[in-house]
Amino acid sequence: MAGRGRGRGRGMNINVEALGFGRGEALPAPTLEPPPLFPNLEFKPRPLLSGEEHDYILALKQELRGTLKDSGFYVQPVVQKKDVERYTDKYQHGTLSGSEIKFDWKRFPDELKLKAPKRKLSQVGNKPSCKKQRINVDVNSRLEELESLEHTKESDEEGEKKEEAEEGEGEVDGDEVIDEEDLEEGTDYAMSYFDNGDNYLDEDDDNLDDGPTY
Amino acid sequence: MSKAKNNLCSVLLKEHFGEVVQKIGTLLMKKGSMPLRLLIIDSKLPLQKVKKALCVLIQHNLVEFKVGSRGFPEYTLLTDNALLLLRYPRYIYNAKTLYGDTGELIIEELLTNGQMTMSAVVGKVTLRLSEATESGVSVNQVKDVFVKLVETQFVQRCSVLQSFDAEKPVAPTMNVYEKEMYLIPEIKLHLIRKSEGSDEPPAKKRRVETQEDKQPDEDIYWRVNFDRFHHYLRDQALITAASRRLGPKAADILRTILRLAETRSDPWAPTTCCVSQQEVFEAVVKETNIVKPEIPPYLSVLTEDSASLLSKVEDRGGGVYTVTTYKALQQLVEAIIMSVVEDRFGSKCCRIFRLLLMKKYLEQKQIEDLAMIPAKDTKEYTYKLFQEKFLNAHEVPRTMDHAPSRTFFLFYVNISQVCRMVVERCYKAAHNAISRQEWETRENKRLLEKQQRVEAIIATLRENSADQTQIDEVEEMITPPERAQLSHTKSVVNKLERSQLQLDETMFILTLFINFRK
Repeated sequence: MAGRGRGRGRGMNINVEALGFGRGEALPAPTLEPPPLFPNLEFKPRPLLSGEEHDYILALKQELRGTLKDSGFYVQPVVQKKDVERYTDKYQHGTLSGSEIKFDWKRFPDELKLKAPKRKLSQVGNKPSCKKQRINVDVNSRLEELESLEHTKESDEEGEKKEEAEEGEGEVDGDEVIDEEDLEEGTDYAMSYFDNGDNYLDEDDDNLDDGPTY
Repeated sequence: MSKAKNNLCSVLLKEHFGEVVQKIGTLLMKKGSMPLRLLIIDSKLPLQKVKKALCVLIQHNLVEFKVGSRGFPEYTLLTDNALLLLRYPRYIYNAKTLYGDTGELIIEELLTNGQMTMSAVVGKVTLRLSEATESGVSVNQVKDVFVKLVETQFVQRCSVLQSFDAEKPVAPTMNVYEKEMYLIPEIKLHLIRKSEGSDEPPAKKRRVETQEDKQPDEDIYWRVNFDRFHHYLRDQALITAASRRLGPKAADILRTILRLAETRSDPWAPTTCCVSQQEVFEAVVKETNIVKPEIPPYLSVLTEDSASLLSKVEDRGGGVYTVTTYKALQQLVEAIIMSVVEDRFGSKCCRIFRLLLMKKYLEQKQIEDLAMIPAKDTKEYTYKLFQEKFLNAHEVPRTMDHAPSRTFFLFYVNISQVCRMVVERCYKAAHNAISRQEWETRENKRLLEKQQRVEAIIATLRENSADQTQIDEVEEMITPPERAQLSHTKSVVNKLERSQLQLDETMFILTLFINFRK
């Protein structure tokens, strides 16, 4: 076949008759593109074998596939989290995960041992509660200290953090004189800023202190 | 490992075990044996998923592990076992024909679970049988069938843990002991009977469990012996060939001879061991209703037939016969390839092919003369076969300079090469069929799920003995065009699955032949 092409180029070294072409006959057209992906079949193929045996084996195959899919051996693919959790997710992906398969771990290498999910949850659950308890204890003791301080001196009760409470403790004595009139519980605003209008009628008598009114 | 074979394995893993297992399996095929860490890095899957996938594969005898040179266990995929996934339904069917429903369920349980202890298998099968049939089957019967399966070697023991030394190894070393492969362990049947009938909550059972409640065969696992099934399937193929060519009685005689020889000879030898005529007479008369005088003509016909199923080795004692499995297999393979050529290229091409099989080496002119086809057509057909690599050409130079005009080109058929090529095509075809089947199910997923839900609703309605009108109302939820679509999808999927099973039959004979040569 390669010889045919080369022969055309360089002049007939090969015996053309042997190939089945006469001298004058046209050579077959050159192929310009790869053969089609789905070539047309000339004739319809023979039908598949059918019979009781084959039907039964087909049914067995489908049953086997279903059993394996529902069993614990079918490893669920990694589900990518969508942008928003939708209500129907619970119903669409929440199919049976299959019964848990118990492997005999003696027959597997050590590194493959899967941890049982129950133990995992309980471990995760324990830690935050411990921390919470510790935090609660700290907060409680701190609050008690602050309450005791409050009774002795007037001071901010905002300080859940130790640093603020300590600062509050230290600064209370110095600022007491200055801040008394301005600071009150729960507000950030100095009290003298707010004018509730009680002095309105009184102000008519003496306008010197207040500036021009607009 | 050819690309087509790897693709088929990967698609089979996905169909049976899911995408995660498919990914791990494909990686192992591409890169050979890998330790766990490399698998996690390459697959980019979470650790737990990779571990579970490996466990599933090991459990089903698809992956084996051994401690590598660096001290980590390395995992290799057994591709041939993965290809057998396609043949599982056939094994189950054969078990049914040989040992009835009990045998069928035992093999099915073993195939779905990979490896199981005898007590677990017997327990599950008894449970399933008692649910299915009204008169249950006793545990003893199930155990007997299991023992029979082991005795005929359809079920074998898995590799056994070696006892540990003082240092705990990273991975257990497994050994296979030939002698122990088919020994039946003791199991406590009364425990199985008890667990069937009791309704104790599992928590209670755990507390009460003592040495008496455990089965003594806890560490002995069993699996299906695929080799034995292949042996059986091969014999069946030979017997069907005999029955098609020479009639049912010849098939019966061949079957008896095979059964006499199978326990005594290595199943994968080119010929079975010798069987004397006297034995044949006795066995055939006992097992079939063929009368003694009819047997010798059938024996001579079987021996002289071109399918070369039987051959007479000596004349001692009236005749000593062996079944020439290798030659018979070769004839089967040639028949398969001839039918492929005929359906693909036409009957004239097939004639040329058959001619070359008979005459081995032929020149172009000789083909023309012997096939009685006009010259131009012969050339076209011969070159078409040559292009598709069904024929090879052997050059015999006449002169020293190998001038093309003065060399003989002899065409011949290289059966093993053609066999391999056809097997590759089968792999590709099976892969295409499975991919298309997946696509069809995916396209119509919504409709199929809807139908499942409707059927579930109807089933619950029937259980609660609802009105027929209610059932009809529910059935109307699926509109007629949807029904048409559903039935079309179902027929397409069925056709594709049937084609996969048929391809598997062809692949079986062809791979058997290829492996025999080794």
